Amino acid sequence: MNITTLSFAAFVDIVVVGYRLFPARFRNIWLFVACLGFLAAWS
Amino acid sequence: MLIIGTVNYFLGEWIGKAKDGRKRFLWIGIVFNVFTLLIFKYSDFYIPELIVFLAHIGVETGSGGIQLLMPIGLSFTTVQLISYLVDVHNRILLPEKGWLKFILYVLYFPKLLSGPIERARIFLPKLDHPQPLSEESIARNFTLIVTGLIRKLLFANMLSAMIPPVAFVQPLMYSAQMLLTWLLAYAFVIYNDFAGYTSIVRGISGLLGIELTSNFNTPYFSRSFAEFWGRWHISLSNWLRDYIFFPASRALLKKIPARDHIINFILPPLVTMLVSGMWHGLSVSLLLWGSLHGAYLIVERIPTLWAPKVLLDECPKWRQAVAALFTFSLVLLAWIPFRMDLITAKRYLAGLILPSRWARPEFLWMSEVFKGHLPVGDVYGWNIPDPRIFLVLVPAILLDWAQYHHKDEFVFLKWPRWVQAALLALAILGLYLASFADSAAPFVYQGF
Repeated sequence: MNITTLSFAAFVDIVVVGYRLFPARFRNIWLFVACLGFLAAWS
Repeated sequence: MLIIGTVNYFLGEWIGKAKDGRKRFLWIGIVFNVFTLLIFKYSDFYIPELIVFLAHIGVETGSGGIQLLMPIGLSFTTVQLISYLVDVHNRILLPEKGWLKFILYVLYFPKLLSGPIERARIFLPKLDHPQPLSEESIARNFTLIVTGLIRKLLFANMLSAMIPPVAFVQPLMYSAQMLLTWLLAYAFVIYNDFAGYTSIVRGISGLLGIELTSNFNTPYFSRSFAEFWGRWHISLSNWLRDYIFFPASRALLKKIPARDHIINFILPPLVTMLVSGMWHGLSVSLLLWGSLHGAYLIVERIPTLWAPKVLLDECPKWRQAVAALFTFSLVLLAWIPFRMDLITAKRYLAGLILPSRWARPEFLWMSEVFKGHLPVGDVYGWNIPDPRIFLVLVPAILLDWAQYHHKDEFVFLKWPRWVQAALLALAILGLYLASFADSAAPFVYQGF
């Protein structure tokens, strides 16, 4: 297990919990931020 | 990726709004997407020439030359965007009004890296109405994540580690039985690697309430090549069918109306599979892989020219088993050019099929080594396939068999609780042990 795997697991947890907690109108914005974060981390 | 997405967003709007000239916008979009893919994906072909040209006109490129960083998942994004533009053009789909939603279709992180290739008309509505979390959905999505991790970490990574890298570089150093075992292992590496990835991202996306397309359905149990392509990388196969095979068939039928004309019979499957090969990469060996599958599909259809199509499910079981074994064997052979360059592939095939390459197993030598009378040396020289490969292959096949036999990828959820608990404990133990050997092997299809 390395830090990348653990970071990705933590990232997924935060995204899923955040997505489920946010009101419907903010969900897509939250997903967009998550996608940008994923892209930035990958780059 | 943001720029590519935004350009396609506006192109979609223009195609949707334009009274005439819709086709022109569609072609601009297709050319833009294909050209973008070519620029990034095939930079190895033109950058050396570009550096020479720039040097010729007096522009220095520095010691590192020119390097292009390919946007992740561009091959997957390109085909999705083309399908969006074609669907808007064909009035199957209204252009998406919201930029944010459209960009999410492009950038959605679970499918960004290696698909599945989603259709906008199926994916976009899911963003508005994610499925609520329920006990059942949590169980299903965790099952997907756990089976995905098992496929990737326990099957794909372990099998991959057991294939010596030199086997796919200098195959003639080894006997035929060794090459066959490693090819078999490679077939299960590539399948479990990609199916594992898809299963994990489907599970993650499912937890968000956005269900992604299933990409694999126990493909190695297919009894025909048509069935194989309906079970292997399903989202790409469906894309190729809808946007290459059907349009090519229709265009040809307009010119030559006879369905059984040799051109109508051969060209559409061949072109489709060549495009599939090119999509994976522009190399002669990948084109050969594509054309081999094209040829398989064509030859398989020949009997339908004079006899009605036989339904596989109605055939006796033994015929189905023979057909599955035959299909798998030819799929296995096609993995050779998929994995290595053309010259090495030729050597690998020669090493596999020439009777003289089958060597006698050196059991005596092995027993002398075990007794300590001889040094270990090159174990591959014993001509005895590594039994550990079969220890991994058997559970990998059993996992698929359970899903195939019950026609249900969530079959485990129907088993008694104590069996589920025992299997989960076993999986956690296996994944824990595999985590020590984690070499962070990237997903194979990430490279496409």
